Amino acid sequence: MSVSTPRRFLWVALPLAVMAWMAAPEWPARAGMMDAPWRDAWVPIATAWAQTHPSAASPEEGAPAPTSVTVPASRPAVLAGLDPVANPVAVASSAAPALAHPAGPATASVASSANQASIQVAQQAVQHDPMAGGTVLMIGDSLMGEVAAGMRQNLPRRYAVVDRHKVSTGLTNVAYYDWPGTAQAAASETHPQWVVIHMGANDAQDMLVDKHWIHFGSDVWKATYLARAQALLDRLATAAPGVTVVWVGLPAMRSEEFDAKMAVIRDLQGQAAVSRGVVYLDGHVALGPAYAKDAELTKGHRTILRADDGIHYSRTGGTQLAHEAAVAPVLAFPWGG
Amino acid sequence: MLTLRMARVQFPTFTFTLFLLAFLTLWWAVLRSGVQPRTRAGALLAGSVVFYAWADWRWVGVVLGVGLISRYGSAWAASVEGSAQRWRLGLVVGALVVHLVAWKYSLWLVAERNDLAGLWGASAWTLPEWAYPAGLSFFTFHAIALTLAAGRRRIPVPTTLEALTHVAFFPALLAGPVLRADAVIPRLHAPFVWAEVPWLEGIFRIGGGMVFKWVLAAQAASWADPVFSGMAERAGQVWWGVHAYAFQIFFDFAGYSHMALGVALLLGFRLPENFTQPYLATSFQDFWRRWHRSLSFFFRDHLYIEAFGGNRHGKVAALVGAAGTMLVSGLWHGASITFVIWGAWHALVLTAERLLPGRSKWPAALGWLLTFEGVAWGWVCFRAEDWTSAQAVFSQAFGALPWAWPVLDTAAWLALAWGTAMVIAVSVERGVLERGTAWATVVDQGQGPRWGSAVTAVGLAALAALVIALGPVGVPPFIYAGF
Repeated sequence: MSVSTPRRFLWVALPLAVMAWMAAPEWPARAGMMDAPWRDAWVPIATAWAQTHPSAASPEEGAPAPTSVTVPASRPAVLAGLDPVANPVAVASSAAPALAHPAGPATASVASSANQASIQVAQQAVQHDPMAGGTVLMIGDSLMGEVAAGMRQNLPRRYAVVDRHKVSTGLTNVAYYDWPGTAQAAASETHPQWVVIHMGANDAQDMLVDKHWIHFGSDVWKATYLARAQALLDRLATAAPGVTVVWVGLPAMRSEEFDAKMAVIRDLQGQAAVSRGVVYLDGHVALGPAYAKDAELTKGHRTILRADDGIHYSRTGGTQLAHEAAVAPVLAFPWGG
Repeated sequence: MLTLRMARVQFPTFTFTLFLLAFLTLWWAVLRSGVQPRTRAGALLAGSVVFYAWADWRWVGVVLGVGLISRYGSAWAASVEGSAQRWRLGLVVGALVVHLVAWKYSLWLVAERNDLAGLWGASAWTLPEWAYPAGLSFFTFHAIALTLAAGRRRIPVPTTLEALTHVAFFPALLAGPVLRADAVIPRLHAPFVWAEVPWLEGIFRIGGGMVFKWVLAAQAASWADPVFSGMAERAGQVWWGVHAYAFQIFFDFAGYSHMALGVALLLGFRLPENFTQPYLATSFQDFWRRWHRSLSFFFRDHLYIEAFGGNRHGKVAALVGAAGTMLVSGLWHGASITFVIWGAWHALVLTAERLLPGRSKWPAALGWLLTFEGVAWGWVCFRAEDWTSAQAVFSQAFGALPWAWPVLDTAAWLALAWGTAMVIAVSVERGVLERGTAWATVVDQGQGPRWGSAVTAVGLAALAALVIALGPVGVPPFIYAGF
């Protein structure tokens, strides 16, 4: 036969080589997202391959080096007087329909006191005319997608909602997506009056810093994550001075194991927000202290709030979170205004 | 379908490329042409199981179980004749359908039941929380087609190995095309000769599919997503976004089908075309002969003709059957009222086309315009989260948002250029495919000009570069993957 195997091999190998080479800068970040045994094997190969590409950059531009981070022995002093167990505070969002929770004690009204304190800080600082309108910049991962849509639905047209969420992103993998830098660029471009941040679902993973893997949940990991969250807030403040930032915390997740990981993220995000004087709103307030797929928002009718994966929101769930967590407390808008 | 981590095994991913290269080496280099069909089938089944398990190992048992039901069910039905055979087939196919419904629609049915129950004050049932196996609708349909054909003795009753291999055939496992009963098994019994496999054609199809999916569909999605998230500011943007979605879903699914057919070609299997330029259709009837043909023919053969009786019982019965088939098709696409409305819309127009006198004499251009617009606006129901969102899109397109001339800045011109590229791609797809395939065959067989091979290699490399350069970072979500 006149067809030759080496030629057929070339027709496969050449395009694959071109694709592999052109995508080389992405390889380390993607390898970093794999699960543990594959990741440890692939990341050195991916990093070496990425170096062959002319635009290869070091993976940790803009992030603090781990050797210079001091590991706090106990929680920062600023939270010392705000122990949520000692000071349970009810959140005043009387305009929204209350969620009837199918199970659990009456802890729905308990929010973190960091929550309440930071709302008061924000409302004193912002002298806002509701008729003026403005720009709201939405930042986050795939969970932000439905919240942004909900925000658009809740706000009148004189408010511009700029949706800059990106799926599969977070603060742990800066090489894949640099949120502090991207957020700063977005804020410089759009000049928002408010920025709403909602991310963290992808952050329950180890971090690669300076060629070492820092394990999720360790003290160094927590310190690095906190520093990155603070860096994000600092960059936003630099790009848009006077902007009001609202950090919406993650709600309860269906999987207990995943929820426990998210508890670590929530805690760190809350600390970062309080340390920078930024509003932090508890996701449990909008969607319940325990995971609930649906809720009775209007009497006799159960509305589905969460998607099949027990993590993402339905459109209504996102709208609920947008309203409860951002529109009512911060923008002082009644439901449907 | 938006996943937190990278998709693990879908077609356009790194892990799939590795898997495919390894499997192709096994298929062609290790298993030489003289190998027994049984051995080939075993290898194919093993590869399919690895492929599926890599995506989600929990559901491998479901795929194999469905294959076993098909094998033993068809043998059970084939052992008798006449009405007994029909009863047995009905039971087996019914079991497969119930299985599909239970996995896929239980959440929706319980939620709807709860809504109704709320009206008379009954308590709500807990909503089921399970996810369902990837590709469920497709491999169940593979099993149904096999069962019906073998049960009626139109094809020989398959062995267990053959049935499992057919149901789990990995190029078509996750999102089609819906395999006909004779798509896989007879081919296994024919020789697999390395020199004769349409290798270049397969690669060309995979590359073209990637351009469709990663470049064109992704670009269209960037226009459609803001509109369906309610972010549109002007009515013109909504119109642009709705039409962009029509192109997105076409390039996404047709691209996927090209990749699936290409992979099958590399293995030596030729599957039928799934899309034949559907947006050039001049009527809804014509559209359904061009869009997702494998599914369309499955529903026509097994639902419209066998279950509803086709046009054997008069015109009215035929119309009712056609409408019913469209409604079921709508429901198959998703457990939501929006899909039913979409199916009902198509049913309505199909019925109207048959009843309107002189419809077939309308000028082709008019027919084309009505069909394209009708289909494009029908996709709004398909894409929208729920009926409220769909209504919002319609109202925004027709008055709720201000009409304003678009700003003719660089972005607008770029969008126009891209839009034109998409229209061209839709129009010339068939011609490119035919000429490209002809060229590929000639070069592959060593009968082309001396520079043919080198030019082909460079061309494929350029295509690959184009996909990486113009495609988005990350794996774009695939619309049909949730079915």
